[in-house]
Amino acid sequence: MDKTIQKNGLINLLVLLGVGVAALAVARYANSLGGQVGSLYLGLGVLVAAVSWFQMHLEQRERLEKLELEELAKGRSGSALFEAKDAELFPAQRSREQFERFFVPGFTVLLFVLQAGGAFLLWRWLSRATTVTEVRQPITGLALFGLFALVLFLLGRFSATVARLEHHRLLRPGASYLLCNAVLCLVVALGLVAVWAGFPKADLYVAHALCALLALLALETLIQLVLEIYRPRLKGKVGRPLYESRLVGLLGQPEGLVTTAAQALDYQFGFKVSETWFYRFFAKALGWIILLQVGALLLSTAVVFIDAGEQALLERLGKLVESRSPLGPGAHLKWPWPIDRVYRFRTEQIQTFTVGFAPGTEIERERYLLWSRGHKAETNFLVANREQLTQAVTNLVTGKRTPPVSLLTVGVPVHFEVTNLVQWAYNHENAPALLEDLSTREVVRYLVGVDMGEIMSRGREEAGRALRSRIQTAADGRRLGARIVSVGVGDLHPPVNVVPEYEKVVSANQTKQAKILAARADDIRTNALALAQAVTLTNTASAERLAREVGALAEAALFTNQIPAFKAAPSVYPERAYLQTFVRATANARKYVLLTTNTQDVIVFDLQESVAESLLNLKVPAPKPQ
Amino acid sequence: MKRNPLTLIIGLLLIVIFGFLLFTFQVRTTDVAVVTTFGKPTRPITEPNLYCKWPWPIQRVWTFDRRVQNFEDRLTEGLTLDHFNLLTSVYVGWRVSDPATFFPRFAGSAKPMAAAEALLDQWLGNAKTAAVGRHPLSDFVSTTDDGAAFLAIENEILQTIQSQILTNNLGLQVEFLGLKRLQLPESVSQSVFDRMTSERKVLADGFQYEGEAEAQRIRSEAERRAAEVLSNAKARATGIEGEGEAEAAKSLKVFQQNPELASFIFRLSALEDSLKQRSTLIFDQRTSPFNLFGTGSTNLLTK
Repeated sequence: MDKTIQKNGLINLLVLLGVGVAALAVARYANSLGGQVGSLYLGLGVLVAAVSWFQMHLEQRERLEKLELEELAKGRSGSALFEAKDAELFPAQRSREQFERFFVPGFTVLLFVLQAGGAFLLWRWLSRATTVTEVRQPITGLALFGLFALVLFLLGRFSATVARLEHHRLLRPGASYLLCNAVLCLVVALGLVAVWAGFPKADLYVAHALCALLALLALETLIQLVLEIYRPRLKGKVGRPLYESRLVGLLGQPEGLVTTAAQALDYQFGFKVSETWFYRFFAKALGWIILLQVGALLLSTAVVFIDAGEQALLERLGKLVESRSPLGPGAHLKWPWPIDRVYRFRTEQIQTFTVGFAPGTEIERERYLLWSRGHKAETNFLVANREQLTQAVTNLVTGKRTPPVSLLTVGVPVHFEVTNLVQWAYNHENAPALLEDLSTREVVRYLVGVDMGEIMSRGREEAGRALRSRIQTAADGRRLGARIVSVGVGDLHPPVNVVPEYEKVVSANQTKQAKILAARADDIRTNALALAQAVTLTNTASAERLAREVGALAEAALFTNQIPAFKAAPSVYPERAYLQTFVRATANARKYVLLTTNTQDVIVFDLQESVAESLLNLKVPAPKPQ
Repeated sequence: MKRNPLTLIIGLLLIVIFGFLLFTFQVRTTDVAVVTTFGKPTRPITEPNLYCKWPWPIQRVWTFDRRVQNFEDRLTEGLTLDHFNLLTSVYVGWRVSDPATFFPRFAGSAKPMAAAEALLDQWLGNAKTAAVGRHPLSDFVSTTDDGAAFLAIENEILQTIQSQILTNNLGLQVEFLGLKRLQLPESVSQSVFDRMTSERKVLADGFQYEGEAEAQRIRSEAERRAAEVLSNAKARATGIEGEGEAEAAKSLKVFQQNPELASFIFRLSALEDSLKQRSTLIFDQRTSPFNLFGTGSTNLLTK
């Protein structure tokens, strides 16, 4: 029996060592971070199993020593040999006691250092960008880690069962590590399954989780070390080995938790819930139920539902099932995974990408789109400039010159749909990226062949049509299986640095038009006034002519009547006419009459105009308040 | 120890599953594969199906995507035939044509496809720079040749790369190539911006002075036409006045009946007209009617 425990301990140690080395090799081969971190647990298990195996050996020696002494004591009672001190009598016991007193705590401290240091260093290692690499051959990795889990589990279960026997307690730490590592290998394998299923970060998450668990183990070991100082030591009572982890045991044998929960239920309900038929049936059939669930899960992969707007390709053992591809929307039967696999694609959805800048910035969400607002990762495209190209040809000079081209900022949204899924999925590794490349190339090729002024103005519509046709031709040439729905050229404009100058030209053109219109208004006013003045002049002349004619006739008529009066009174009539006219004519004149005519006096008249007194008394009006 | 049949079933099931995973592998329609035995390529596989193999580390399976790989090289600077700096990048469609040849060429790399692209990137850089140097800028940017030179440059680069791959027997094939980006270096772009700015300034100034000139022309034209209209109107007015004068002259014959009286009346009329404005008159007492201040007149009153 005693030899058996040592043999079991040695097997545990060797299996842990072998699986640990193999797991590390597989993890490194598959680039599995979870696997590499999990290998550390196997390494810790190796250390624990080695120490416990050594301790088994010491206890075995002690037992043999006691047996020998008992045999001797029976034959030679009262011998001087038995009067000697214990230390001299029981060297094996003393060795075991020294081992437990000094080596085990020392080893536990080492275990704590390895756990804490490992958790810290591995976490830091995982945080480095260079650490994370693509998982390689995940299927091989998951298969091998699954096998490791199976081997560790079977041996662990056996050792855990044996460890319940008397004097076999030292098998327990190794068995716990076997079972715990079985669980961890399974977790690593599940992480690799997730990577295989298309979640490449799953392995990294598993590695981080294992690091966190290692830190917890370190904490538990530290607590155990502290409690060990205050633990009451009773003679004859055999304690748990200090390096044995309860957490590892719990992880390896979670049914312990179930037992505890059952006991709690018993206590809460006041009767033995754990002894009812349902609980017993459930405990007995749980394995079958889980197996049934797994079977049902596998069977569920025999039906696939394709959503509206989607199509799918069906592959059997990696080969396209041409008679059934593509699968349209609806339910379809297929062989279960992994025989048949379905790859879904959104084919009816109008998909979009933009040539010229990276979409998705704040600017794209704004309600207005201005030339002066730059896009994210905007690229300036070369565009022909007919005038500059002509000048360049005629002025071929050497030295530093500005290229005879212009630059244009382009935002060309391309909308497309997948029309032939087999071509789309199987002809090119990255069909969307290729379509984007083809579109960019066609935009570049189109722009270098058109004049900037032309495409900025009347050539836009033609550019949209031409680009759509060219991109479609290029996509068909590469058998992409896509239809170009539309190509937008609304967002073609000069680079942001030049936009103000373009706006100034528009402004100057408007100013020019304004000036011309103002001049035309002046033209209209000047000519209208001239016409009016001309009419006035001719009308005045006509009036004067009429007045002249009528006046002449009237004067002639008057004179005809004056002649008889003059003949009748040749001296009086003129006199009267003179005096009447004199009165009328001089009525408003200032008159000076010199009555003395024969004197030598000098008379001075001041005929200077004098300012009227009323003008001098004019008052300046007060200024109006602003 | 009582054996639990469930444990046995699960154990066997797991062994079968893991064994199946270790001893078989699938090649998809999109893939080709090479099986190596202790590192030596022993079996190229080009047809999709389920295949058997010995588990790692005896045999390893290297799968490569058989579809056309899309790859864009770096933006590299070159000098055109007429000494303009030009940045170019191309996209390339390539695929693994012979996995058995392809694999040993790039087996040392963790990612053979990426290693192949890295090699292509270097070769493309040389091929592009050489092609750019053989052509003037007008072959890249031109409104006259309908893009023929552009296509010719792409073909040149493609042929260079294809011949290099053929010579070195890489087990891959470049299917197509296209110029994806044509750009100018930052400093040259700035000078193009400056030139574009100057062009716009010329246009803006042109508009400004054209506006002023046009406005001035319109105004002078308007003034000329106004002056013309006024001159014509004045001439016509003068004519009208002349006609009136001629008409008035017809009545002068009436005055000829008594020229002495007519002269007297005209003088009276002229006197009256001339004194209509403010005037100052200085008379002596001999002027009628002020001669009344003299004695003779006074006597006549007393009579």
